[in-house]
Amino acid sequence: MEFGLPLEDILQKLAEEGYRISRRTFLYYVQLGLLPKGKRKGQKSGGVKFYYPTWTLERLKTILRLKKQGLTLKEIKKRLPREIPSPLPPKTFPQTARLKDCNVCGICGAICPVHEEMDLSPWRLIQAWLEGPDSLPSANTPWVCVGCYLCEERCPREIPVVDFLRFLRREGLPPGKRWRKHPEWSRIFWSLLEERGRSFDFGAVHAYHIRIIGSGENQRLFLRLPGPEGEKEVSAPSKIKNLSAFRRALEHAREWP
Amino acid sequence: MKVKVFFCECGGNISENLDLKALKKELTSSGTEVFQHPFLCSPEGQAFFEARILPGEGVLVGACSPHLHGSIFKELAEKRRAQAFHLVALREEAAWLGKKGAYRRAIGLLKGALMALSYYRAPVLKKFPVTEGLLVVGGGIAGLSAALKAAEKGLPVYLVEREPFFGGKAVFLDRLYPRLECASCLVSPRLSALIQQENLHLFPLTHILEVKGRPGAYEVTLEEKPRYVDSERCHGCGDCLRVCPVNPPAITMDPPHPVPRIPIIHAARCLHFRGESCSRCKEVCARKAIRFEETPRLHRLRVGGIIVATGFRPYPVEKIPYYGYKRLPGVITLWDLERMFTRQENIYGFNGESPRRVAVIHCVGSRDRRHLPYCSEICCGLALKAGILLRERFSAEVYHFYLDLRLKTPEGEGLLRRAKEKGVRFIRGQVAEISEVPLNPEDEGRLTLLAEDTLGAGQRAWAVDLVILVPGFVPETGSEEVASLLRLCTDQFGFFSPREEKTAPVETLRKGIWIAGAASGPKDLSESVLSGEAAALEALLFLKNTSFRTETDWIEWEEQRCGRCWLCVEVCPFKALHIDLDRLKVEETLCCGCGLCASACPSGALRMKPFPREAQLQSLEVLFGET
Amino acid sequence: MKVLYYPGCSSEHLARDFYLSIEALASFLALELEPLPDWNCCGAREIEEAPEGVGLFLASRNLALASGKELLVTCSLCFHNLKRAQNILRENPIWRSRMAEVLKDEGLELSPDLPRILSLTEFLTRIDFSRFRSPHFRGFPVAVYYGCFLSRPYPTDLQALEKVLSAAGYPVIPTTLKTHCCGGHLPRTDSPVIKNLCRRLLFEARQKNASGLAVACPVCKLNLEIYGDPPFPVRYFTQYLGLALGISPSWLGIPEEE
Repeated sequence: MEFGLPLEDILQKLAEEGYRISRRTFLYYVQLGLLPKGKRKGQKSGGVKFYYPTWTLERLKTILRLKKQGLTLKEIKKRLPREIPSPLPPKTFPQTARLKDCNVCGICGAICPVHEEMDLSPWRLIQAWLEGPDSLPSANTPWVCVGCYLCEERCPREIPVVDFLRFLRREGLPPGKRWRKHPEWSRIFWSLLEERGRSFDFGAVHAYHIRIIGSGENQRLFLRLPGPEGEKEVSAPSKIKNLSAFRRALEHAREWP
Repeated sequence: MKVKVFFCECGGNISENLDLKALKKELTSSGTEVFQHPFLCSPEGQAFFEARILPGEGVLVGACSPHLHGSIFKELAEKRRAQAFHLVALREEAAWLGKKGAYRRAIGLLKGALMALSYYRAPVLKKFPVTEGLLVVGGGIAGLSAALKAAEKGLPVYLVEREPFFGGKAVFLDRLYPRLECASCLVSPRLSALIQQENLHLFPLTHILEVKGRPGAYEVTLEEKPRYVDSERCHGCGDCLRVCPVNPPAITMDPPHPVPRIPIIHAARCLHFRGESCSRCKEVCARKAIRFEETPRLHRLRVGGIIVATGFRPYPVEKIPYYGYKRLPGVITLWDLERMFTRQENIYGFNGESPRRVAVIHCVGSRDRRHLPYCSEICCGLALKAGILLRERFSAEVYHFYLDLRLKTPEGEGLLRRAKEKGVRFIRGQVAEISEVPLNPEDEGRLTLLAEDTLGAGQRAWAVDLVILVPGFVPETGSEEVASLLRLCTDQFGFFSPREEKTAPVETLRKGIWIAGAASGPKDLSESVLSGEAAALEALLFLKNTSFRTETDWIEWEEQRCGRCWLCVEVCPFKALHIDLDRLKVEETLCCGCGLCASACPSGALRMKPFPREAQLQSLEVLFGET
Repeated sequence: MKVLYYPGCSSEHLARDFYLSIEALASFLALELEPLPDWNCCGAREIEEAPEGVGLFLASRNLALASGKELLVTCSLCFHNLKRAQNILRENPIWRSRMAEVLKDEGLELSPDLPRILSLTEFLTRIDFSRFRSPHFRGFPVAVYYGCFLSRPYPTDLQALEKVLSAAGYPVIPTTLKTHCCGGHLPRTDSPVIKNLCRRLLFEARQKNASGLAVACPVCKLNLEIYGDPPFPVRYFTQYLGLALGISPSWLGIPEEE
């Protein structure tokens, strides 16, 4: 059973990332119901420490960010997810039981179309994960996966390989083991999506390099084409109607872990 | 009636999940005497049990399934002249459900059984005569081993085979695992013994239409399909085989050592049956044995027992589309290869030439949730053998793709060493695809095989000329029909279930019916022979007695209650009930006391033994009240 | 009957030809196809790195906008994303109520039984193309390619392309790699892997004497065109259908010099 982090660790981690908050303020937020209550745990040295779920850290960061934007604590409480996230520790793959059935047959690596680009075959990550998340080697595998589902189609044990890799990419790995966090085109993709509600099809972004000059009404997009055509200007994606409502909803949708 | 309860701990099987102490306490508090023993079926356990029963008492045993040791306890109780006997399967029905809920279930079952005991009326033990004959279903190696042994001991044996020739799959094996000795040298003498054995009656091209009767006296109806060649006249010269104008020929004598040595005409291919005037085979036959006018023949037999040896078939690998079987040239199964070897046919690869590189793929469809979730055990050895032969005969490079090598017998390891010494390569990884489209254009004209070398450097693609797929074992087609004709139990994969896997592997839950060979699960040649002969021994033990004793008088008809709807007659699966001048008659040799009639009866006019409907209902009420 | 369809972001740029050929087919066959009003991006592959809620919201918004019983989706990846979201919304009441709450910000609502998501390939099998075939058209052998998302994990009719193209008069050549992967959007674009994959797909089409490859997915077409070496004619199946009906190539987005 995971107990989470003691208060001291949370404060120290926040300090490392440049947030400043006192112990007293933290406990005040707990009192207000902005943060979850801690669990008592006796120490070997005697005395008692309170442990908080690991997601407290992220939630606290959101609070501090919103506070910086000038919102009051009351307003912040409204904007935070109403329900405190489920008691499941965030780093558990919900279908771990199915991973245990892996026969180490290698069929996922064999059929994978982009296997040559992968540091390790999916089955090796599955085996390492079963050893314990800490023994996961750092590998680019989750980021290389193109999600073609051929492995799941062939797997004799019907293991959800793609879901597992997706989980590793999104939340399963500690930051130090991330292979590549935000490639340039991912950033462009999201900024266009937020600005216009539509984006550039990712195929274009990966096949041609994209260059953006200016912003808002003056924004211009260029594609660098392979071959003699060189660079070509293209129109930006058309906009959807009520962008502010769309952005608000998008922000709202980000709240759930 | 005073009732004594006996608990068996079953060596922990029961006591680990079930608090027997608490059970004992609860039952004792209501005045029942309770005894407990770690192994009630052991010699000491039986003595312990016997010593504590007094004449006229009721006995309730809480142990394993009544199929296992029920008769031991029952006979001991009867010996001590107990008045009533009941057994609750505490192991299967409570303990093996897991710790949770086991106790409530057990107490419900026990209290219900105590309630039922007061209604106990013992069935009557009677002697029935046994007919000597033995029917063996399936003429493969297991069936013919059983038939030969039984016939040798003087039993009249009827050997039924669906195909035109005897010997099953064994006659199409080339060499045997693990010593690579010639298969036909071992199989064909047994086949020729079939013809010489006087008590043995052979029925090729035959299937069972109907089985009636009871253990010791079955009436079997067989249908023999026409062969269009008179077996009395033909002496197997083979002249007819050479004149058939059809390709492949319509008259054949396929196996290398055909038994019987009589050709068969395949009506679907024969020009005569397709309306043309060809009769070349008839013209060439010096003994005038060809008989186009032959029709199916019915045979009626009376036998005392039946051995089921319907065998297996390889998993139909065309169900796995990405292996390309039946689509790509150069992709064959191990069984195709054995057949080619025995017929000394030429073997060609994908490009139509002699193969230079061969892949042998283990576990095709095996241990796969979508196909066969089990391991067939035998195939690894067969595959290894085939790999060595391919290496020796074609000096081809041979690659085995395996997951785990499961080699039986102490000599298996030696064969593996021999393969490795000869340069056969072993790659641990499941093959993901076999394709005619190469990864590298220079491999065009070969098959591309994708797999990950999970123990090596992770090589992924191989270009090969010939692929041997090694499928797992599934029950032979038609074994389902045999199971329903004989009312036998099968497991979830369709293999016949023995009465008890370890200690009664060839017996079934039905008296007078035994199973042999791969019909009850994957078996190699020696295991098939072994189980065939074991089944023959069981059959001899049963059939050589002129009679057997069994319990009868299971139901009692109450005339004044009966509404004459005769639903009971309709539902009886054993056809044991019939109407005689408006009265119900029970054929006691057929009735096995299953109770279907009593539960179907709308007016409660049928009283079951040992426990009537009231007893059953009261036990159920107690059980549901407790759980 | 009016059918709403979801064009997806690619319709505005690199799959413009796909979009044009669909519109041309629709007007020729008098299909009442209408683009989903005010549709938004489905999130493409990027939603996999964003929190689950984001991807679900992007899909839910489109599902809420679709008023009819059916929503036709032309792009394979959009099809996958919408189908996946729809499955989650159907099976998981928690996510469904969360999405209902988010959509309220925009004044939108999810219908109790979400619209049925239909791929373009399956939709077109409802039309008997043999009735519309131009008398001057002479079919040539083509191979078909479905790619991943029409085959897995939410399989559509994998004979659909064969059905419509052979009805339109093309001899369709059976291939074994029709549901394989073209490499998709492998992050490292200078990787030789995509080149090998595309080369293999085209190799099969060429090996079996096809004169063209009919595809249904914008990414597949893009990859096959850019990395296919040596080049091989790759067109959307809708373009092939249009040619068989006698529609002018320029209406179908086929460059004139070809």
